[in-house]
Parts: sequence; structure tokens; C-alpha cells
Amino acid sequence: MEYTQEALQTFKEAIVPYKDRPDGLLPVVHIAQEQFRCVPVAAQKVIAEVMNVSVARVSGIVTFYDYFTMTPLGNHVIEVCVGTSCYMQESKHLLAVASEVLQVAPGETRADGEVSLRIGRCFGRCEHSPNVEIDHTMHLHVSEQELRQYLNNLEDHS
Amino acid sequence: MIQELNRIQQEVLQSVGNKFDKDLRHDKTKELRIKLKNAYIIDPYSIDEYIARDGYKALHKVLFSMTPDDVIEEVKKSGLKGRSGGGFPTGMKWSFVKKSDKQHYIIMNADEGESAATIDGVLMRQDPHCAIEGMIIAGFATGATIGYVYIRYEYPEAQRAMEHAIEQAIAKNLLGKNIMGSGVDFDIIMYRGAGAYICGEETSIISSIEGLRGNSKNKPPFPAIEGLFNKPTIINNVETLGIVPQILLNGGEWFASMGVPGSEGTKVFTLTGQLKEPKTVEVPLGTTIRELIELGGGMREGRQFKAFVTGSPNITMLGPNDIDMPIQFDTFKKRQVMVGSGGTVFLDDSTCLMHFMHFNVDLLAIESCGRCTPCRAGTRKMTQFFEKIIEGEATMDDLQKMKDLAEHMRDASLCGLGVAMGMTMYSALYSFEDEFVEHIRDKHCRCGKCFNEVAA
Ligand SMILES: Cc1cc2nc3c(=O)[nH]c(=O)nc-3n(C[C@H](O)[C@H](O)[C@H](O)COP(=O)(O)O)c2cc1C
Ligand code: SF4
Ligand code: FES
Repeated sequence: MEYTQEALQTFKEAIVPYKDRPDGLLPVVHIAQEQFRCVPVAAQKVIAEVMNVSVARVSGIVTFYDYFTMTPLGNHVIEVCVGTSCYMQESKHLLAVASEVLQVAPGETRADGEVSLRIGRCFGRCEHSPNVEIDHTMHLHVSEQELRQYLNNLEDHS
Repeated sequence: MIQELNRIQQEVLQSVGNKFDKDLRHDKTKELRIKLKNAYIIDPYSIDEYIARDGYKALHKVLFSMTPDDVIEEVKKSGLKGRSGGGFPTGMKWSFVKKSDKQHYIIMNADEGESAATIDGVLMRQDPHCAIEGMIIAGFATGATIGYVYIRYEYPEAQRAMEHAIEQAIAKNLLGKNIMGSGVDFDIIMYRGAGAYICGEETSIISSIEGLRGNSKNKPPFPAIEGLFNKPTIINNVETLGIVPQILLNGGEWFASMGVPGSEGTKVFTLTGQLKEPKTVEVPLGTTIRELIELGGGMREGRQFKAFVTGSPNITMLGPNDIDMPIQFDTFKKRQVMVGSGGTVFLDDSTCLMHFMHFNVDLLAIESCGRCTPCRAGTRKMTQFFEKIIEGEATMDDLQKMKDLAEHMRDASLCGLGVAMGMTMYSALYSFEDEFVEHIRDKHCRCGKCFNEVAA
């Protein structure tokens, strides 16, 4: 994917305040993930330049953490929790259902860029398992039927 | 300043009516809410309501009538042990920091990577000021003036509550420069993780904040001597810091009077799994597994208790014969079981232990940071062993190999993630060796889950 000079410039301005902070690297990678819905190589280069570190070091961080992606997340992000408590409430089945309805493999973004299906590792709502987060809204005690409904509503509007 | 706190307290108490009289204990005989005394009662976005429940009074007392050593002594007296699972005495940890003019740090470990645990999440969402107050006190005791809250990205709501609480505390001069006019400074920085279980391990958090991959570091030097940016650093869990204000306010002896000798005080547990009513509770240490099951509404209809699992994916477990065992650091240690961070999973007789083990070991293989071979290769190998068992291809020889591998990982891994495999296998075999043998030698699965399908 191509990024305009303008977008990269906006990003650069956003991260300049962090340039002298010894703890600044992870926060700026977060900013990239938010702005571009991923951390593309073009952004990694900007980070390396501003923070005065090698691109390899930035890339090392991007690839280490699950939350950072190299390809843009979809317009809708569905995260099914497969943490232990949710797993015990058959959430792997919910993941399979979501995968089938959305036509995308767990952990992937659909080719049309519309939806990403992520594998959650505990949202801290274990007493309400199984839980699913859709576009930053938490749904607790989700049944298969409810999940299908949520997903169908998404597809209707997209 | 204390007058100001008292004035706010009086005002709120007059205006809230009987809101604070709520008794949220699930079972009035067994639950004891100390850390959760404010959760679901106060408005977490109101610092005044926190103050009305004696909030920030401990901080005032500490800043104006105690020395750092007094604080450490009081915490030692309380018997408080770290609530993240290891059970390391908190007062002792704080005393390791040598006073020097170097910058000192304190890190609140809010990564709560254990899946099936919502202790720190509940505390931060429902009572953010208690952890903040505890952190400032810990900073005073150890000479730290900067505190990092390392919070997992999966907790946006907890992060919002904490950020708001920090702003409010600064506005009231309970945090920041010259706190309450005492001359003491303390600043808090919220720091967001990015999805890595290993980044709950203390040295990995340090790597993460330093802008490195979240690999753990070799110890020694211990963080208390050389931690963040090579400066003395204390790392404590949210629940540990959250109880500190009350220990200082009511005295170490008060805290030590709850629980049992060697396992003083209360512990918050998230009860999950095959219970009728999964929930988060707080009980004195020394409470038995049977009592926890009762708090969780009992096992599901028509089902028998099979295993009590602490932690996840680094699991240890106890079996049906242990149902009356009290939850204590010493008795658990003897059986190589971790008290853990409070995340618990109850299994009933419908769950195949091989599938459950496979799920957790597979997760460990995903989360292994890859720095050392015993863990990087060992977790994969262990996953394959469980796949073989489930598919009916394992031999008794494989079982021996699994035991050897677990011991090797225990002895040769660099950090707790790999080391814990020894305890995992030991505790599983202690109670469930017959289920392993049934699967491997007799190709029999008592739950009817194996041999006809690929591992889920
Ligand atoms: C693999 C691994 C993961 C850990 N995850 C956490 C965690 O998520 N939260 C936590 O408080 N401690 C975690 N710990 C324990 C920390 O290393 C550290 O001991 C703890 O924060 C100390 O706090 P305490 O003394 O208050 O218990 C983890 C340890 C290991 C080995
Ligand atoms: S034991 Fe595992 S997680 Fe720990 S350093 Fe070694 S590879 Fe990394
Ligand atoms: S395991 Fe799903 S929310 Fe905790």
C-alpha cells in the first residue's frame, strides 16, 4: 500500500514530541498503528529517523507484539476471546462461526479490507464468558445466535 | 490538607444517602471484602467518593508522620506477599532498594496476562485511586519519584479510569510536585502494552518500556538494584499496591489478623470454568477449594468437581482429593502448585484433561518469547506430545519423555514462563496420572473426546 507524503508528514509531527523520551518507542508505534491501522514500513522508517534508532529495531518491535500489524486492519474489527475462561465456554466454536460468516480466517483481514477477525487473549471479563468485541464494543455472554445477528448487521451496513 | 480531606468526606457522606451501606458480599459468611471494599459501591470517576471512604488518608499519614523505613516496617509486619502469584514478601522487596541519589522507579504491573483473571481489571475499573495511592506510598518508601503503570492494551476501560483518576489526583495536589505540601514529588506515567503474555514478567516489562522487544533479562542484577534504564526499580502487582493504603491506615497487625500465619490477609479470585456462577470474590487466605466452589454456586448441574486450576496458560492444578485443601502459600508450594494471580478455572468431569492441557501448552508455545531454547523448543515439543496423546499415537515412552522435558525446562529455562512447566507437569501427574495412562496405554478417554478427532 502507498502512503502519501502528507499522511507521513502528519504522522511525523505527531511523534516528534516523543523524540527525546527514552520510553518513547512503544508509544509512537501505537500512534502509527492507530493512524494507519497498521505499522507500514514507510512509517517504521519515519519512526527510525525521528527516534534515532535503526529500522531493524523498530521492525523488531512491530513483529514482536500481537497488537501491531504490518497490513491494515479492516474497517470492522471483530475480536473473539479465546482466553482460558472463554475457551471453557466453547468460544472456539464462536470463532469458527465468525470465520464462516465473515469468510475470513482467524487472525486475518479479508481481501476486500472490510473486516478483520482477531483472536482475543482475555478482555478481563472472564466471569461473563464467552465475550466478543466488535468495533471496540464489548459484548458479554455471547450466544451463537447473538453473534450471527451482530455479524449480519455489520455486513448489512458495510 | 487533612482538614480538606475531612471536609470532602463529610460533604459526600451527607449527600450520597445510603449508597455506601450496600453489602455486596456474595456469601456473608465467607467473603471478606478489603481490597474490593469500594468496587461497585463508589463511582470510580469520583475522587470525592474515594476520599469519603477514607481515601488518601493513609498517604497523608505516611507523608507527615512516618519515615520510609517506618513504612517498610509496617508492610513487613502485615505479612503482605506479592499478589501476582509468586508470593514474594512485599516489605522485603522494598527494603532491597539501596537509598542513593540515582533516579528510582516503581512499576505497577497491570499487564494481567493470565487469561481467566480479572482481579486487576476490576480494581482499576472500579477503584482506580486505591492502586494509585498505594503506588505513591510505595514510591515514598523506596525513594522513587516516577511510577509507570504498565497496562495491557486489552484494558481500554481500565486505562480510561486510571487516567481520569490520575488527573483528579493531580488537580487536588495528591499527586505531582510537593504532594500536600510535604515536599515529596511523585509522577505517574500510563504505559500501554501491545499484546504479549511475557510482558507481564518483570524484566520483560522493563525491556518493553525501554523500547526493546519484550524479552526477559537475566537476573541478577535484580531490578531493585538495576532495573529500568539501569536504575533501582520496584515492580509490584496492582492488587499488591491496592491494599497498601489500608495496611498503612489500619496497621500491619490488622492485616495479619486475617488469613492464616504465613498467608496473611485476603486474596481476590476470579472463579471461572464449569461453575454455575462464575464471579470475582475476595476471601481470606486459608479458604478451602470447596468453599470457593460454593461461592461460585457449585459445579454445574449433574456434574462432579474434577480439578482446580490456578493460572493460565502457566497452569498448576489440584484434584478431587484436594477439595478441602486450604489455599495457602506453604501447603500449595509443597504440592508444586502456585496460588497464582487469582485467576482460577474449575473443571468438571466432562472435561478431558488432555484437551485442557493441550490448549494451555499450545498457548505457551505461542507466547514463548523465543529467547532460550528449552522453552522455545520445549513448549512446541510438549504441544506435539499432547497432540499425539489426543490422536492415540503416544506411547508410555513418550510419557517418560514428557516428564524429562518438563524437568529440563524447569532447570534450564531463563524465566518463569518456561520454568513453570516443571510444576505444570508435576501437579497434573500427581492427581491425574491414571488419566494420562488410560489415554496412552489403553487408548481410552473417559470423556469420549479423544482418538476420533484432531486436537481442537
Ligand atoms: C511469564 C510470566 C508472566 C507474568 N505475568 C504477570 C502479570 O501479568 N501480572 C503480574 O502482576 N505479574 C506477572 N508476573 C510476575 C512478575 O514477574 C512479578 O513477579 C510481579 O509483577 C511482582 O509483583 P508482586 O510482588 O506484587 O506479586 C509474571 C511472571 C512470569 C514469569
Ligand atoms: S523461558 Fe521462554 S519466555 Fe522466558 S526467556 Fe526463555 S523463551 Fe523467553
Ligand atoms: S478469558 Fe475471555 S475475557 Fe477473560
